[in-house]
Amino acid sequence: MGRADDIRAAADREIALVRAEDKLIVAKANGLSGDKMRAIKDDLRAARQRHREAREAEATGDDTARPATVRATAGVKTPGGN
Amino acid sequence: MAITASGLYGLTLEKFLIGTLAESWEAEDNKVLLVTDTEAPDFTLHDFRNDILAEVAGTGYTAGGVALTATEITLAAGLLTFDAADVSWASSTITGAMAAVHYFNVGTAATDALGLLSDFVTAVSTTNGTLTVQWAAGGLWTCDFTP
Repeated sequence: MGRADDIRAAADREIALVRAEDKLIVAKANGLSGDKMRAIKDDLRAARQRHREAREAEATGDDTARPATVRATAGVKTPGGN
Repeated sequence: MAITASGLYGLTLEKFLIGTLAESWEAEDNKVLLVTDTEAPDFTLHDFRNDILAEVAGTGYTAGGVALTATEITLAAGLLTFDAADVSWASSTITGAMAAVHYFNVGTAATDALGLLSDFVTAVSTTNGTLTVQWAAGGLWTCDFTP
């Protein structure tokens, strides 16, 4: 994924989280309860989980260099040769 | 300038051949540092660590690098091979490491003789991760003494 895609994906995650939190606030304000309320809470929990996992993934990045062997060659000239 | 190839530092090799360095490839306190592609190695003229001008910097990386351990020189079938354990920098944030430089840990930048530079070809970077230099199966360097 390119840098622009990374930024877009991060922005989408932030928006999804804010929307899920807004939904819960509105639901509470409207006195919603029962299955609908549970579904909203589940959505918020899932959005938070996705957000946390993405942040953790972005926070670490390993890398490995695999250089080739440095090769030296000793040359012995023939006696009397050029 | 940039790093275009790996190599052994000639002036250090010369000192080994004429017996003036009093160091050992198999010492366990010699070190490996990382440089960026800004480094301009001169394998004929550079001799000490103070010639290294583009060492990386970053979280989890201490200037001067880390010790190279499990060092071993072996002879087999006309080939002399120097090998050692891989080196790594855990929990590091390092950008654009392009080569590893081995040097003999004499004591100061002006006296630490350069051994070799190993070109990664592709730069490596970490973000709060582990940067590992995995030496080739054939060792850090070889010398074919019966070519």
